[in-house]
Amino acid sequence: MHRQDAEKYLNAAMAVGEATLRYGGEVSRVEDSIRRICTSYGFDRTDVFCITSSIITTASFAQDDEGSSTQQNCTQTCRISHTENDFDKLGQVNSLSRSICSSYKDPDEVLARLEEIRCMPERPLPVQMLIYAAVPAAFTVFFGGNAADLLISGLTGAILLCLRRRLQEASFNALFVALVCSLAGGLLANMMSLGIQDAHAALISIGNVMVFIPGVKFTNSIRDLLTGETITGLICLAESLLLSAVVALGFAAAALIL
Amino acid sequence: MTMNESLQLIAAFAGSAGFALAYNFRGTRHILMAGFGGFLGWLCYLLVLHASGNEYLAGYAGTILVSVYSELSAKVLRTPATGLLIVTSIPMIPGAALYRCMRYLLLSEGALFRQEGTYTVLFASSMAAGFVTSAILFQLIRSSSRESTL
Repeated sequence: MHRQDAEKYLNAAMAVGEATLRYGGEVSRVEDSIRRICTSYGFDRTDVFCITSSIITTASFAQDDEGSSTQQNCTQTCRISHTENDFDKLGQVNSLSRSICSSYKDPDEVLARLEEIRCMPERPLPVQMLIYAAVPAAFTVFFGGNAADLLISGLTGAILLCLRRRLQEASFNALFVALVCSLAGGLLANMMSLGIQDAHAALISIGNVMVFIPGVKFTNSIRDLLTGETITGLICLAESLLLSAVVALGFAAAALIL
Repeated sequence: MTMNESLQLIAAFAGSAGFALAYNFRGTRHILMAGFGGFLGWLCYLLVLHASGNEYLAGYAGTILVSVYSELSAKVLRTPATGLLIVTSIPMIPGAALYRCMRYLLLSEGALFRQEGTYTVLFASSMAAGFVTSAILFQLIRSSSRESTL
């Protein structure tokens, strides 16, 4: 293998790893798929270190120079700035990764396929609004809400989705987006339940909180700590505590204002 | 099972299916199976809670059931288990408790904050223990099946 090829192969493996992490794959999955792809491209040894915001890979290969071969290393790093949960795309990236391992794929072909996955259209806004109305409505009922609570909660959820989209498009800081959305959510829940007799603002709020509160991240951070992914666990723990404090601040402030 | 709990089971189905849609699951079968997983997990939680009276044990048992269910359905649906695991465990995830805990912290209600905080950390830990237990279980099964094929 020549250095140029090696860098190209490693680059493709890193791109697959980056996409896996970006669409909500866990750290161990990223490390595993980069290692497997590098092995199938013919690297002798691959060391991957991945945390939620960065991937570092060093792969070693034998370079042939006119009959004699020397052992060479190449290293690449990748910074991940934001992640989202998109399990359709994660599934596609995962099957791409599997197909590279089972039969040779040109690195350029891999990068083109990743770009294709990135550009896949998302659901239209009205459908998304329905989905983001259904989730808080379901959790309002889960915590004991009645029919009036269900409707108000759904309406609040749909409005909050539009607000969050707007703020994210302007690419504000994630904590700021969460703060504004939870303040708005609390205000909407309290104001809309003022006029209706048997509505419970607290239950409507808690239904909408479930969309913003990082409960999954919090629980998974403890799992990471238990399985030895200490750095990832600590990062996620700190992020989820901070975010949940901000969400609580928003909803609590709204309840105090009104 | 009370009226309230039956409603919770339906809401758990809707909540898990809703999160599956929000996290961009495609295909009706995927979404229905995600919803059914949420339903099963909550049912297991309620049954163990009634039998033992211990919330943490119920959370642990529910998480193991949900993990096994997610691994098996991921095989059937040919998708990574991660996504299914996240959405099926959502009805049990202590999001509301985490919210209440932070709320008491901000309102400087020391005693309530300690109570809610202890519950949140312990419940999340018992769920994490459930995830780890089932991961170890699946590793053991995989390595033993690999040995038998050699």
